[in-house]
Amino acid sequence: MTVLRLLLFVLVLQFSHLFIYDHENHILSIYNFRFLSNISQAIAFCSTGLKKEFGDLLFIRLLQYYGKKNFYYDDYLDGYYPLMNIKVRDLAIVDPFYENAIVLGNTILAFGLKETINAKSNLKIALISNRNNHKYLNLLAAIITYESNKKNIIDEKTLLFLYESALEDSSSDMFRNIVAFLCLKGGRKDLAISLYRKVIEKSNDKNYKEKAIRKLKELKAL
Amino acid sequence: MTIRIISKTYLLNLLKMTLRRIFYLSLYYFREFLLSRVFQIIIFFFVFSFLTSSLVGILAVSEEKKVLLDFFLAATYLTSILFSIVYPPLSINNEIETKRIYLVISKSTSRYECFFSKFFAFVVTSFALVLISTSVFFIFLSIFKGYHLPSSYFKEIAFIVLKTIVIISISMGFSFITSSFYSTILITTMIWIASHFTLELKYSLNNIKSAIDYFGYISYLLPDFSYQKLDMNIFLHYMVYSSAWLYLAATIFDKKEL
Repeated sequence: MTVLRLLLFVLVLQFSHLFIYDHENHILSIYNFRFLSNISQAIAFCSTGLKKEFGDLLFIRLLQYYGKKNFYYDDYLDGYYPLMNIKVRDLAIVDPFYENAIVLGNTILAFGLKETINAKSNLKIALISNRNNHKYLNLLAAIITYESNKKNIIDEKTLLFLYESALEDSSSDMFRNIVAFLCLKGGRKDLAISLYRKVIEKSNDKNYKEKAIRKLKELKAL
Repeated sequence: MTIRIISKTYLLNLLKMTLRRIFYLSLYYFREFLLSRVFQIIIFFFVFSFLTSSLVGILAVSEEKKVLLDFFLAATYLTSILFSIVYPPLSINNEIETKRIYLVISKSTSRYECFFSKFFAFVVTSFALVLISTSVFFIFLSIFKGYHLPSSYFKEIAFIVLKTIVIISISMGFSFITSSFYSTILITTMIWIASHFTLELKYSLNNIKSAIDYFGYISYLLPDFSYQKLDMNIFLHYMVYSSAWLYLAATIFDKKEL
């Protein structure tokens, strides 16, 4: 009888896991923590279920680092923060839903410290689990626009990534217009045409529709 | 027909009496906790974590509200978990060692009633701790900072209460399995920590390469605390999981020679 009760106990424990079998967990598992700079601290926080609080601490440390000149290196000039990318990347891995912090960190990296490649990769890391987050996608588009103005080249890989996001039903008309503009600038007329057609199909705004029709007439695709 | 009506009334009265006994016993155990040393230590821990959290918020500059809310939630969570790991085995062991449990059982109270009254007392106490901490944070935020608590905060509070119920059921189970409350506290703490890595253990099961990866099957015996947001599936998982532990604990207590 005792064995039967134990067996029933174990079966019910296992049965409870059926409710969460294949349940989508939107947060990255700690398997990705192997890319962190300080994994032991991250594990210590996660073992008590304080992942979000660790993200907050990382943000505070980022502010303290950026707010203090020559934090680690006395002989560097003002405005040189070599560890900034590591700190922003750690934040993107630990808590990709901490929007304001990730946007702030990557804005500093891209426009303040001119490390656009690092900023783009950090945003893509955050977008893995926080898909179609418009703040991150808009910042990514802004970084590509900045790069194209400064270096006169367009990152085709990121552009294709943004194009796929713009095709989603959840993306805004403004974002589709931005990506269409970038596609035209990058010489990808076909992608821009499909985006303008998407705007005409999905948009509820008369102005965006008229603009898209005008653009398609210019591109002779209408 | 008449016999059926009588038995229905009889059953209802029996249920009312049982619930009344459970209610008064739970109240007694709740009052016992308020007078205990553990309550004073938990209050001290709560005050310390509250002060630390309020100081950390200042460092976050533009994100002060989010950081304050996160750290207050963490303080609430740690306080309630500390209570649920430490107090149930301490209380149960104390009652068995001092033989006070005979007083309860001898007064026409069944062992199951005694067991469930203790369980409800622990749940109500942890809920009261969460309520006190939320009220303190609400007063601090609204008066000193000018912020208000968002509705998502209360969903997180409900999540914390559910996790506490799971830990209480596990600690009560081990209190009756082992005779030492030190080992109960240690084992419950280990289970609590390991439960945060259930997702990773399940991932290793899907990618088994060596024999040691089969250890991942232990993830199906642990509750899953790796989820960050509460929904219906997770609620059901926690309820069924804690019911299994309560069933085991109640069965062991019923057969135990005190």
